[in-house]
Amino acid sequence: MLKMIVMRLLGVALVLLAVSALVFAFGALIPGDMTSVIVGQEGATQEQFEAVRQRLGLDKPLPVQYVNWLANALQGDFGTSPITGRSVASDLVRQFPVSLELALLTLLVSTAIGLPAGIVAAVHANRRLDVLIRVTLLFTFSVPIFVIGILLLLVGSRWAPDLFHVSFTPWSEDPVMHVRSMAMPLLTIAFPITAMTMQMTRASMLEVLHAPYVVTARAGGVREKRIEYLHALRNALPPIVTFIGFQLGILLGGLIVVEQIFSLPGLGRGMLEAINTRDYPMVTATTLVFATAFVIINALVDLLYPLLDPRQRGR
Amino acid sequence: MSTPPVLRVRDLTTRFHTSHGTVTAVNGVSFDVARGETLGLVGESGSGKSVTAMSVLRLVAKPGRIVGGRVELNGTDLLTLNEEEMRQRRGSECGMVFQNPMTALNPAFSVGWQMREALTAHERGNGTAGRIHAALADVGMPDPERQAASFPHQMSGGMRQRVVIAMGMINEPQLLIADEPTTALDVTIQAQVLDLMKNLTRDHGTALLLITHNMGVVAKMCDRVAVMYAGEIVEEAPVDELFGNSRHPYTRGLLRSIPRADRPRQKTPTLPGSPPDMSRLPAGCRFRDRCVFADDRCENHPDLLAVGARHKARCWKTQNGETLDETALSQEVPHGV
Repeated sequence: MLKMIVMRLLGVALVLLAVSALVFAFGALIPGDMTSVIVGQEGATQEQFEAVRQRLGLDKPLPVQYVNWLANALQGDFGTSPITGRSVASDLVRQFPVSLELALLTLLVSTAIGLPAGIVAAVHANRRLDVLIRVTLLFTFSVPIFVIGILLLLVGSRWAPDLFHVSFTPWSEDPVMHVRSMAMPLLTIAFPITAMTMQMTRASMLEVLHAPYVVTARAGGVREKRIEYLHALRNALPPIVTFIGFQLGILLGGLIVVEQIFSLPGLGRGMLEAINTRDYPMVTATTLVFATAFVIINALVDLLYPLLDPRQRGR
Repeated sequence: MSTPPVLRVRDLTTRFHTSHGTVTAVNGVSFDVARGETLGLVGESGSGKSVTAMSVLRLVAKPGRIVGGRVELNGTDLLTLNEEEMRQRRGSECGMVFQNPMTALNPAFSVGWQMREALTAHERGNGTAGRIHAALADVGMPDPERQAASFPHQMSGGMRQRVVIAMGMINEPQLLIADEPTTALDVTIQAQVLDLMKNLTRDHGTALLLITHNMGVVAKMCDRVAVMYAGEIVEEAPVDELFGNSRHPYTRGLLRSIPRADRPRQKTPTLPGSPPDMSRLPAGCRFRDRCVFADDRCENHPDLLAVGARHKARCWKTQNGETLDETALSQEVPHGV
């Protein structure tokens, strides 16, 4: 078990190294570089241009630039944004908790609703309750995030202004206002994710509900509820857990849209702004954070597997 | 026999409603199994023997439905019980052993946990650990404490089938139903598992309903045999009588197609043709198209009638005490297909 964890972490480190190289390469491949952003497109002499390039180390060969960038990044230094003039790392530290909170809350809410709904749907497969659940969630899944978000914004600010608070307030400033300001983004992004969790749970449960060992339990007189929620669910869980981990990845993408709609100062919005302003250090840094989060989540899911499935444990 | 049978099935009929039409998989089946007795239910795939077994415990999966008859277990008609009353009888009054031990156990839980489930389902929580270890020891598992902590994937097929049998017997039911319990096992293990079931049911006086297509298993295990064909019982007799003096052409064909050590395998006679399409059954005798004895009378459906002491057959040819002429079989059935 310990050996497996060590091997897994080594794998994570290698993947992250490859990811960092890719992220850096993308930054370097985009036409133009930071110099033009700093100096300005017109009016600067070639000498001024070269001076800035030299100061930023952009005149060195790419591999050297990469090693320098990586060494700094490992120490938490992602450089200074030429746009805002602030250190990129300090922006990340400010933005990351907002996005993480939204992502984890979404996961919590969507699992709390989607998992039981999926189980109930599978148990009642093709009967009225199943159809009701599926049609409802298919609807929430089919409407794009930005439509739900804007509708909620409209409805919320007009008819329930006391329930929702539109501009972001940090927890440290006012906890109540904070909850109210997070409620609408949470609802918006939780709708489609809940539908996916439900669908996956239903499919996975349907597969095990007719397994021979379920018939064995039934023939042994085990109560039906116990069969469904213990004997069957336990076997249906591994693919569901994998899927929920995978959803976190999708969520990170969804954050860009939701944070934009609700003006949340999170990573997604920061990334979009950085792209629009060609803020190179910021773009590479946020991309790296997203990618790292994705890799770590997947590693965690993998480590959960032996807990869920005894066949994955070494003897 | 003066004591009532443990299991008494009367006119059991189970249908499957599918988009292709209605299939009556079990059609008016009746039989008894007495205490300590082993009844073999024999037939080809699709003859309805497994559906009969599942119907007894009311475990037929949709779209199957029991549409008529009586299934009396210890004197109670199971078909009149509500779902909770039925659940209480599953496992406690009737245990079940399934065909494939590789899939019959839950891969996510330890063997001991699953056996505890079988016990606690019937509120017999006292001294469970001891009873589980005793049950495992009863089926010949060495080191029961260690085995109880094992997971199914850590065991061989034969070991797993022993666990399934131990689970089926742990509540000391009066009836055990075994659906092809050795078909999925290695030949060397089959005999061991059969011996085990024979000894266990004899020691506990358990009635055993054994479903199989293997006449060798029948000869080894059964006191009486019921042969099923196309959803009906076509012959029923004590095992010696059936092997020595079968009165239905289908049974005769089954017995002749047992491979024998004293003749080459290619020379084993086979039963020509295949069972009828269950959604389009012919009028009259269902075996008629494959029967070398068939004549005009067979266009009417024969009843299952007594042809001797404790011997019944569903055939016009033998209902007046006639026997079947073996030579006709030998001439008609081609050797080596």
